Amino acid sequence: MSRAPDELAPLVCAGCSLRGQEVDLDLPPFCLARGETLAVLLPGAGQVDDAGRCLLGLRPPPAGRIALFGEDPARLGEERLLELRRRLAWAPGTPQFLATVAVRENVAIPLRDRRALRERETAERVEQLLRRLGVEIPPAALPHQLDAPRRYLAGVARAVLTEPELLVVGEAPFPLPAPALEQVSSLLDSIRAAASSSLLLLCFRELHLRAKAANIVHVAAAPQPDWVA
Amino acid sequence: MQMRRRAALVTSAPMANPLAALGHLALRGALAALRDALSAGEIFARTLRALRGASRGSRRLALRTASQQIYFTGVQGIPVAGLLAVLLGYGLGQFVEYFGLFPFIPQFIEVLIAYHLAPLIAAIVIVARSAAAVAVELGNMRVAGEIAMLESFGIDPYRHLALPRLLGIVIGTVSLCFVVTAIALVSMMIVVKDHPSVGGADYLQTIAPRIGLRVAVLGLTYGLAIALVSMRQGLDLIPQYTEVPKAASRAVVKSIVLCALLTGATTLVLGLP
Repeated sequence: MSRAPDELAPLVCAGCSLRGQEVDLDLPPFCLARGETLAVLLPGAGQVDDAGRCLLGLRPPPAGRIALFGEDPARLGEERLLELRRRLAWAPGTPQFLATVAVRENVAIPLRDRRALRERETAERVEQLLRRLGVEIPPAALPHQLDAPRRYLAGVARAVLTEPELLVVGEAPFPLPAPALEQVSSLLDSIRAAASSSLLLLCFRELHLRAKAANIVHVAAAPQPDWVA
Repeated sequence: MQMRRRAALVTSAPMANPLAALGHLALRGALAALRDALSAGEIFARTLRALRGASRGSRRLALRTASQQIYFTGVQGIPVAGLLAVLLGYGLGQFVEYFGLFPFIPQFIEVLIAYHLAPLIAAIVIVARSAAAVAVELGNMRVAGEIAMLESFGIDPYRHLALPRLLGIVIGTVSLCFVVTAIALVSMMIVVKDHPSVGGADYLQTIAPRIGLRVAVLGLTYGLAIALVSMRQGLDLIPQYTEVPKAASRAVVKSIVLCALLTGATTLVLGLP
């Protein structure tokens, strides 16, 4: 059976609604092709991580449909879902880390899980990428010992290191220092230029402009309830 | 109104008759135990299944966490468990001397110390140290979204979190059971060593294989029970911080009850010398 071209795309959103959950949000239909960079411009910082969770099948939307590499995550068993997620990586606006594990170890965990690298090579790759992002993280520093921008950059490094087929980057909910923003933009630029990964940016402020995303999907703000007026 | 009255009648019906209330409670307890057993069985099956398809890097990571868990469970528990073992052995030795129970020394050594009390003391120390810690750690990870984070990267939490803890607790428990039994036996022998009816080194060598096998079986079953109960409490909790202390308390109580039941079950199945 032949598949339609958009079924092979890393991500297809056939329009979905998160209404009735923690956030009121309607995502319009869009398709992210292989090697493409697409920005989803959200109304505010609060929706970035929720939209990411929904698009990656971590929180199935109450209405609508998502397809990741042609498969609907809501209909997959747990093992197949884990297999599917190993093809993508997510850098949320507010990344989570294992609280009792050093940040550098946290950054290396997905890479170790996906690639059979030597310990030293893994550490070198982590070091190299953190240096490229201009972020200084002491070897034994735990997640709670870092400030929010450094945690965000470590989250980006953790996702980029795995060299996924689909990379989803959420914009930080706080303004990043200018040099850090430059480094992130330059890193995303190089990924976009190499076209090795499809890149989905979940933005609300300026990341889409910095990363020079050609295709932008605008998400309208949910109508305010009467009592707000 | 009528429905509410009917519902009140249904809920209060078992209370009207004490026997029925007792039966109701027993049924609820049995159902809860069945649910726990099924859930722990599922965790065990998923943990074993997670071994399949693990990359070299993730296996190395799991082994590293397992060795840390062995250290926390087995090695760090030795001072407390050792002290309790000395007290147990010394106390039983004094008891034997005071009441002149020297002909029963073999029974004290084999049945009381090696088959029951020493492994149970080791298990209780491990429950106090590791069961609560594992339940709290996994529960906090569930509430903070750390487990969801691992899943978002396609990392199987059963391979990354459950497998090392299961291995670590089982190996740590078996080792600690042996250590505690040995310390308790030595402490008792020190007290009663001068009496002529004590068999000495020859006797210990004769019973060592029997005792070793029984302690290994007890250690293995205790380890599996403690690991599965504590992981089930941590992984399956409602993701709210207020649930974490409750999960820790449940893990401790259920592990101790299960270990006591397992001691009885092992005696029933394997018998006494």
